[in-house]
Amino acid sequence: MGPKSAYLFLYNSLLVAGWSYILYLTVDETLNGNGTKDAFLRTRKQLEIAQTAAILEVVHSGIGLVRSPFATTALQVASRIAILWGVLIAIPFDSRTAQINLYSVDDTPKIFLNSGTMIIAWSLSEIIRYSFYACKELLGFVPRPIEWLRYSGFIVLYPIGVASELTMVYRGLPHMENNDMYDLKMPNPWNFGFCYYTFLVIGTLLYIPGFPKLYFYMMASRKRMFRSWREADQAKKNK
Amino acid sequence: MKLKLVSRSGKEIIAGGLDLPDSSAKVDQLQALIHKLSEEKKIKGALLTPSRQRLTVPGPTPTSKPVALAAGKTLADYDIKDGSTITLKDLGPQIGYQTVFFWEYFGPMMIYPLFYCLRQQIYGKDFTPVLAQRIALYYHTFHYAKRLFETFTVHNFSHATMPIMNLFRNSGYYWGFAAMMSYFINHPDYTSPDETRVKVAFAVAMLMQAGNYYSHVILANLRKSGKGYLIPRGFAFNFVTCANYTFEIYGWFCFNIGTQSVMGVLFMCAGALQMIQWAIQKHARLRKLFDGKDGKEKYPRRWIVLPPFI
Repeated sequence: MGPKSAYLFLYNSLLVAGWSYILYLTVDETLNGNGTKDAFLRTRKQLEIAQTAAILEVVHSGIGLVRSPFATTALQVASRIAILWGVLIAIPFDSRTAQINLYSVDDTPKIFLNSGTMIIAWSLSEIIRYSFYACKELLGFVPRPIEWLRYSGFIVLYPIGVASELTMVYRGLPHMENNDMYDLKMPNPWNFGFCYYTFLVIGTLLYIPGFPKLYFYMMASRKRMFRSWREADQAKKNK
Repeated sequence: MKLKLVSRSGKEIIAGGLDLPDSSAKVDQLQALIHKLSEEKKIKGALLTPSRQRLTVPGPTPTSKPVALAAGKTLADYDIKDGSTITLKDLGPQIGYQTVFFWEYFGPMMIYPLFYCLRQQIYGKDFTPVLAQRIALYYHTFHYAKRLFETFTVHNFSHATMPIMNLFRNSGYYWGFAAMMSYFINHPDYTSPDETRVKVAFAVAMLMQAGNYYSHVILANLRKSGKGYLIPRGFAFNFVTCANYTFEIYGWFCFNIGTQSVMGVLFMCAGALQMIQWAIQKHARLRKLFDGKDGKEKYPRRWIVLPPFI
């Protein structure tokens, strides 16, 4: 294994470990009766480290160390960082433990979206994704179960993750509006004004075209995976 | 002579192939034939006008890229004979270069003045614009008027058409930035730099505009001789491959010195990023072509686009 492979293997394994720990903390928090609402408080430090470390992925792509497309990687990491630092950490306690209930039985929410569901969706996706890359570096190929997970997990995890993210933004917006948070007003020497509230609203609207595009791109990759499996199996049979 | 016409996946598009008299036929005739067959529905899909057709033959070696057939040349120029295979790609709906350039430059020329002229309605208060705001308006409008003028009287385009989606993408870029820059520069709370700085910056900017115009004239004359790629010479081209881009980028730099706004800087950076990429490609192309072998000239040592950086 060359130095580049060793470094990438190390990077991806450390992140698998990090996100697994975050998942463990979240599940522990849930099972100990506190529910998923306070998951963020329990996992905050670890989330800060693990999610910010993803910036290295953008660097890797930029210097050509890995083959991922720069624009897509940059956008993905930027949106995660924006949600974590720009929304979750920035808004007050009440908004962070906010929840949107989708389905309740006898006043007890059974299906809901909150920071906990978001962190679970994020951790599962990242554990699968980083394992996929770690295997590639260590073994030179990816075992089929992990490849399957990578191109199947998103079907459920993307919608849950995105819906949870939007829930947190939605719950945080009133606070941004009232406090002019992160706003830059004119006059100033740079002749530039910035309204964080508007910025977040526009960013959220971009999910409308963005999410289907990403989802269908993953679906197409999934089909390609099955096709290459079929072809490989056929070739083996014909030998 | 019979030619085989295939798609990029290798599938035959016209069963039985195409009939052409002989190799002295021009590429245009081949394009016209394909157009006619497409009209007669003998080729599936959208109507294949010549500008939508990308026709290629394989390169000289198995690893080289396919060679595109250019209108005006004969089939013999590409070694096409009886039984040769030609690959066809549909480039999608096309639109003329001049049309795209018109809309992408006309927009900013109309949009930028809106914020200046309708300031009372847009910003909700009446005020007298300062010198920097006035000069920026005149300069910005002049710049795009100059671009329109060049589009119809100077430029010699490399192709006749481009994909139609480029119209919306490019217009979005130009119109969007024009509006953003104009909104902040013409704002009642705009803070102007020192007036002397403003005057000097815009004076230099106008010199950059002149340099850019003259560069365009030199480039257009290169194409007029019709002999394929030539080494650009004269004026700043003796030192920089893409002198036209150099003057354009320095022009916006001066605009920003004179107006000092984040949006102006972002616009300059976005444009510079794209122009630098294009310049690197053009410089590489010229150096590869003029390699000094087989009696060809060797491309002289020059800056690519932005002395003293690249």
